[in-house]
Amino acid sequence: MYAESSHGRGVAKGDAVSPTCISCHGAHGISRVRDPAAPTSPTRVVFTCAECHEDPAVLRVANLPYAAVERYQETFHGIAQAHGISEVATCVSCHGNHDVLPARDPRSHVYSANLEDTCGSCHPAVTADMVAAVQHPGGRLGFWVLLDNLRIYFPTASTAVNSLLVSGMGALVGFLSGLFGVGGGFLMTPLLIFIGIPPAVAAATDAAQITAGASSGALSHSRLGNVDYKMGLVMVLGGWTGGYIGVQLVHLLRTLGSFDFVLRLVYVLILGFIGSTMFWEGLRTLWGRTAWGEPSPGRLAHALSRLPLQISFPKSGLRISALLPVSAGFAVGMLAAFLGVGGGFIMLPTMIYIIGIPTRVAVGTDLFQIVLTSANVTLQQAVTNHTVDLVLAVTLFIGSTVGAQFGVLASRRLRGEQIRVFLAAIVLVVMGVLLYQLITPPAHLFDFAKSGGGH
Amino acid sequence: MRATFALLLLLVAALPAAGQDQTPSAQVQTRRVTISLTFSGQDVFLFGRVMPGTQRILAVMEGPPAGEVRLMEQGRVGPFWLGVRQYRLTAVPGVYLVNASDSLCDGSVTCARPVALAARNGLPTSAGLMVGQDAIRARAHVATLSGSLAPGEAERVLDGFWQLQARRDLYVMRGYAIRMNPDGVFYHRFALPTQAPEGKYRITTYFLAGDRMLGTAENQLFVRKSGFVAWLSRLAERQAFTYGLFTVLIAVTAGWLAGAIFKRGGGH
Repeated sequence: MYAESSHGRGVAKGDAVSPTCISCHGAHGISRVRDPAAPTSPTRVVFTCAECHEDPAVLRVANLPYAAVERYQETFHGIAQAHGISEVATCVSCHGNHDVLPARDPRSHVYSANLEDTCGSCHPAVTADMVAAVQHPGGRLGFWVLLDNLRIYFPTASTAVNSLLVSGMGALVGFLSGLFGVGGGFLMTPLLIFIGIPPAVAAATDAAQITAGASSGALSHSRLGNVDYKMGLVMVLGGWTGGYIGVQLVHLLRTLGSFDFVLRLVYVLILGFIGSTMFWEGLRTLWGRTAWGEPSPGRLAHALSRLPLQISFPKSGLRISALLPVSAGFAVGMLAAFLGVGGGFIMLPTMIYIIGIPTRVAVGTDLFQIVLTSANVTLQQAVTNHTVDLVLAVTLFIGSTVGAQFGVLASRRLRGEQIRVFLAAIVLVVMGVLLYQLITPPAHLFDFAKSGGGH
Repeated sequence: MRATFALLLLLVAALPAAGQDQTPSAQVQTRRVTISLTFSGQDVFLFGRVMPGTQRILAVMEGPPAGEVRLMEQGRVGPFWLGVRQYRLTAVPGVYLVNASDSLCDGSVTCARPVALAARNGLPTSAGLMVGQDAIRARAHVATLSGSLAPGEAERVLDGFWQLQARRDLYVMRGYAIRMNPDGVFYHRFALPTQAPEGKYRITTYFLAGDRMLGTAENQLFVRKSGFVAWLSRLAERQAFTYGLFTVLIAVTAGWLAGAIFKRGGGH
């Protein structure tokens, strides 16, 4: 019988780690199973098996599942056994002793078809549930096991998510951020909520991740000479003021019932307008209908740029009134606060079409101003709502900073009008999704309400 | 190792009391669950000895109160779905797990709402045994942010809340989850979910025979964040400004670092 078992066959093959008689029964002072001191007694046999089956060296050489004994100890059998109850099933009760075989062998006691008989010898009315409760498949080191072990508990979010997934999401959003100069919050926040991060934590932590992604992108754009710092600072001045006033207004207006809905509808309309205008303009340029190069600002913008406080922005090749970028920043900042989104979607077209900044410089400058804006938001969220999760943010950075670099590289390969068309397409897709959400019945009628104002 | 030893003592203390004793006993495998960076939920094992004559067992694990919960109800206005009404819920537990030794539905195969176990057992509500959605309803306080509640509205809101919690494994009821051996030993486990909040958890085990409640047993469990997780969470709450500044600093550094690495690495 022993010679037929996997132990016996191992020994016959000359396998150094396979157990012989003395491995289990001991050499001197061999006694019967009934003797509690015997290594094969119910109280001790688990430890006897564990000597090899928990030894990493043996597991590696013999290619055995690891942690099998450990997982047995977590089952009802194992817990009872650990407390000295001698009637409970041990290793040998199910796996057999001299005739032990791997579970995939049809002759094995623990082969799926034999389980009912094996369990039935103690439990006459065995059910599938009962079998499942005591099964303890050992683990194998593999890709999926490794992936499963990458779950991290995020302290502020109070939940555990696979860190590789989080970093991957960061990389994707970072790429878009580097390419288009948008923060990526429109994509990241819903993604985080989708994988189970509480909405408040998702929004706040997203601000931190945008800071990292944008600073990575801004740095690279700065090296390429694409950042107009003067313009950026002037716009941020307007943006912060607008954002502050916007947040106060939101708190006031939230009491007016369906305010949130109106905002979402307005946002959809704005996105639709910007997206289609930009898409159309970009396509015309691409097809050569209009002159290649940058679009020229409209009449209103032209008039605004004639106002006093004329400042020259050499990087952008403009000499305009400072009031234009300040008021543009103010409007976008206020809108961003209203809508609870970063506003990159609105800011970038504003820079290109209204102020007249060349597309690539606009992307770099927008990233620069996003760094400042989102850093401000992160700090405010941390102080007022305590919803920034640092561990989650860092996990996101790992992906997003690298992704942003690739985004910047990609942006160098594309012409301004190509970037504009791609961005327009994404804006339109986002608009489509938002619109879809507004008109389809939700899966659950109740959800946790958003608290506080947007950023 | 120490935990195992303590457990052993517990069981040894619990089990010899067999037979002669009329008081039921229940023991929890561990009194303390710690949340570390690798935490992703944990099974909590319970065992004990039933009173003679026990036919069914119900065990309820209740987490710390969830504080004030705000819910938004979606409704249809014209072609659009939008948040139409906001509610404020108080006095609801953050975690509510129920295990039963038999069906939660008393025989009926399809039961939409596994509730009112106690009622069907003929127990008066004042006896304190009310399990499931009814128990939540009896205690919870629901208010709207504007106007007053219509009849039946609070129940609807609480059902919606139950579903939200159930989706996150925070409210779970399981039938046939408690095993009873003929010798009077019972055992079962609660799956403490990943999102389990910190605090004191109360586990109440009810021993029932037909319409009568034979007795109850109480246990406690503490869930605490530990180590780095605890340190970071407390920092975020108590030194919010430092924490925020630190986060921004790390964010900018990470961005800068990636930019710097790519400048050296990439030859374009």
